Amino acid sequence: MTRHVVARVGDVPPGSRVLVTLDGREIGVFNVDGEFFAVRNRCPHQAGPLCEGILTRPVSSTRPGEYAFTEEGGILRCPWHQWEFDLATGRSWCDPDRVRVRSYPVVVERGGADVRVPGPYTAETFPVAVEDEYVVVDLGGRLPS
Amino acid sequence: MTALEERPAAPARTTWIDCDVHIAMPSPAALRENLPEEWRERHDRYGGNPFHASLYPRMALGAARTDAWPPDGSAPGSSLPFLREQLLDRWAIEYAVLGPIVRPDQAGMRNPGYAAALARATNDWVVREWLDPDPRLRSSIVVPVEDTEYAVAEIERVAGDPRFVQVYLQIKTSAPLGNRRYWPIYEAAAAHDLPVSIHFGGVGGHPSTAAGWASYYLEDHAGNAQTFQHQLVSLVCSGVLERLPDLRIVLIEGGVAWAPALVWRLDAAFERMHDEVPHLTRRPSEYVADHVWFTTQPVEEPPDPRSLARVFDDLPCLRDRVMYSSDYPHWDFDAPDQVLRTVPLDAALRAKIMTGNARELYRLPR
Amino acid sequence: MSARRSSVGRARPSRRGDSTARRARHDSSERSDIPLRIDATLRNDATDMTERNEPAEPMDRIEPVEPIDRIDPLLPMDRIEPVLPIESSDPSRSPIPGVCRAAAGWIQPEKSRHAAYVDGAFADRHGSVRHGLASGVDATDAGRTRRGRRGCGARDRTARRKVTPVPTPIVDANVHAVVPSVTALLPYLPAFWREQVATTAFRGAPESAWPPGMPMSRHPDARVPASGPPGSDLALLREQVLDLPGIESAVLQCAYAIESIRNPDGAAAVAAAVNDWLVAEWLEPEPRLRASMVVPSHTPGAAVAEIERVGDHPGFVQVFLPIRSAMPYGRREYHPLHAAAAERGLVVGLGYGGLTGNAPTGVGWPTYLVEEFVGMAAVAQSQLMSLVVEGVFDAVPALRAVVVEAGFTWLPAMLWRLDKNWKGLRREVPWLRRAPSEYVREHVRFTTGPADAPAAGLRHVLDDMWGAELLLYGSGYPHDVVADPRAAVPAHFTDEEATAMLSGTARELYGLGSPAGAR
Repeated sequence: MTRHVVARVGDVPPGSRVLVTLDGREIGVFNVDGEFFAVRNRCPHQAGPLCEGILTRPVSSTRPGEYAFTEEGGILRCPWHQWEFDLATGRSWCDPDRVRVRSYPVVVERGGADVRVPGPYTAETFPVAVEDEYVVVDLGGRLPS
Repeated sequence: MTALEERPAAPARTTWIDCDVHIAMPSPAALRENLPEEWRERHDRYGGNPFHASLYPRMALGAARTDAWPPDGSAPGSSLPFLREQLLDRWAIEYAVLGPIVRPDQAGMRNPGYAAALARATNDWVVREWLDPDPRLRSSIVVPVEDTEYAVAEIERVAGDPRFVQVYLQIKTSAPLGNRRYWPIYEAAAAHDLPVSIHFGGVGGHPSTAAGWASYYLEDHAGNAQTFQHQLVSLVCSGVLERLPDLRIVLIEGGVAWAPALVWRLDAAFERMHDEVPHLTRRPSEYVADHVWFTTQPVEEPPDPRSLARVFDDLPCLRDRVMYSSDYPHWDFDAPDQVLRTVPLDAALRAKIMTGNARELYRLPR
Repeated sequence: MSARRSSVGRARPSRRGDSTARRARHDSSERSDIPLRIDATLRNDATDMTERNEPAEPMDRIEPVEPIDRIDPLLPMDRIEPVLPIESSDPSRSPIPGVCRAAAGWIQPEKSRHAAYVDGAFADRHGSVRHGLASGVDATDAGRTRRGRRGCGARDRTARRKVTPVPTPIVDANVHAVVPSVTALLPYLPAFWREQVATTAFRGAPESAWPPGMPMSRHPDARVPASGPPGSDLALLREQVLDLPGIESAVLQCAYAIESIRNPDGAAAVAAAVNDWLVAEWLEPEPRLRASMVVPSHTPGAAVAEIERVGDHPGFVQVFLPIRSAMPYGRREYHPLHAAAAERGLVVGLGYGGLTGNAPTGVGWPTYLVEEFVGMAAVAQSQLMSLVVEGVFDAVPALRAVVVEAGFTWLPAMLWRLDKNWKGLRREVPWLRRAPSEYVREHVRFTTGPADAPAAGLRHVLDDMWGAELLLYGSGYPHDVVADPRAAVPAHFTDEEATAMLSGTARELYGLGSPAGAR
């Protein structure tokens, strides 16, 4: 079973995150403008706790002196070296093809037959009610690239 | 946010000696408390006079790792328990050589008495709050570098404590460090068998480069490597290494890979201009080999890690001179088990870098 | 890259006659025995150096100063004028073809000023057209020259080695044109500034980043002209550089310290005079030469004006910016300068020098000149960082830069560090689209001299810095005298790489004509 319920949707409002351990792996689940993303809490650079970094927006530029702070999209900056990762793809800004953080598909589902997995903490049972929506991380899934 | 405590610890048998760990007073109020009574009022009134430091948005608060702020919100590097958790215990650091962030060169070195008071306050605080509670810690003697008399007096005052393992200067000074005005500091250090360390940063009162102020922190930070080069050239050419055969210089947080090219250029220039510096009886490369140590961080990261290994072939003395450092808690921290992981170093060299060279330089017991 | 000690022996070139008769071309039968090798053992031989050292020239021979002080300031200006009547409104009498000077002394560009330049070659004073580059030059004496240059014992050494022919001509991308004194510039200075020279202590640039007595300023083999310091005489340049076998062209650098003239108007006027002097006294008489123009680099607006004034002259291929400056060249104040250069296909040459009045380090004044010499490499690093980080190559994608005579072995370590920093600090400079090293690889080149690395280290450096792509052969004459440029090619270079270093890269960069086509 690779699908894990990690939180109630309402418990992870936009701009916030939860850090969970699933199958021994630390994973950060982020809400960016209502969309959820999950990445491994291990920076591919020097193994820093990536998911403890600053969640922010992309900055781009068309000419020296211009700072275009985009109001959409989620960029996670590693707390150690401030490397930037695009939450949607797991790719680093600086070397998108070679330096990527493992990321996982996340879906929001209503409680029911498919959403009964206990989590996020092994010691607790996560009560799942049919009427609520839940954030579900699929450890076996791959993001479309 | 939780579950961090479940992170697996590094294997216990691997240890490191970390030659650049920063500590800071938790708050400005703490600094004031540590000053002697007679300086507190002047500190309040005049201590805020800035020395035209290079002020850039540094892309990280306090230039620190975002995760290095202790739970109580005090300054990064100000909590010993948190230092143990994030560095000393996590990686089985055998010794950490501290570099206090409270420094007289940053806070008004133009007033020599004030600079000396800051240095004394800092060194006493280091003993009390850090060296006494944790036997893994060693530290560096903070001195008011621009006032040689006070600097020498401070070295004399604390050098008897063997946990101070070096004198601490910053790379940005008001004159090149070979200048004779600084020589009494070197003489005092050598007399006490202490290396003189020169660390990234500081405020010397000059533009950050010989071509004026850099515009961005990216340049300013990387540009420290050029200042290290200028300072090493000055130290070598000045003759102080000829004068003091036992003097040991430690270049901290300047990187390493630039050393061979600089030494080649120095030797080549010396070949044609040695008569200008007749006090040098040997080639510059020989002084560097005998007198100069380097710490790794922020170690250059070439696209092909083998390039970094070749630096040790290009300047063989580096095998005995390069020492691991992390620069905790700063954003450019190099993790002990990660930073040279992919560099093909032979086992003996790796051991020297991780512990051996530092143990020998600082005469650290096993 | 041991240009300083050629492995083919060091017999001094014998004095020869008329330079035009000596212009050599490549002779494959001779070429085949040129060893492509760096001989590290020959570099650091102190005994050898002593033996070669000639007594330093007395200062008064090196820098003969015109007795300007004795010129009566009350004399009419035309009595002071040593050469040409500057105020002529007749373009044909101006020192620059097609450039006339207004009565006020400011130079007015004129449409027809390139009339004397015909399809890749200069018309000489007799009206005939000579090709600027050596491809079609008669080779009658090439063999003789080569033999004359070879020293005793070199043949044996050569015979033992694998020999790789390098069928390529050579561009020397770094030779110096030294302004002998302000007197030489008088014909090209406006009246106001000639008066300043005559009536005050104003002497143009007061000093040079290459003090004439400094050993680095003059190689022991560099001959001293009768009339001025080494590097100030075209005939000697021909003899010691241009007429070497295989040399097809050379790029002049003029390190005259315009930036040391604080008065921005004086600096602009002197810069213009130096450029006109370069045209009239170097480029026109010698079609194998190209030049770097000088600009008042501390006043970016005036520098742009000077680039606009003479930058289209086909003899100018580069804008010389002294490595030490009051503010880094990447700053936005300089972007118009870079754009003006790039628009004209001019390369920006960051050359050893820069007397800004500010300390030559970031920590104040060093004690010894040797420190300044060595430290120039660090300042070049600061400037390169600035150019890249400030987005100059993003704002001016056509811009190319060459670091002239400040070494290159420092480049890999600098780039490794800068790339590492960039990965964490990229948000501060979001205009950078690639790693800093990639900008350098695409936009920046380096002249080879002065050599400093031992052979093994050099090879590491070149592998790490795409050396075969990034190097331009440059002797630095008269700071260095290279008997055989081919000996400067690293031993492990392939023929293609050797060709690129000796001429290919320079031809492309500077738009040098044959055989690929004129600029």
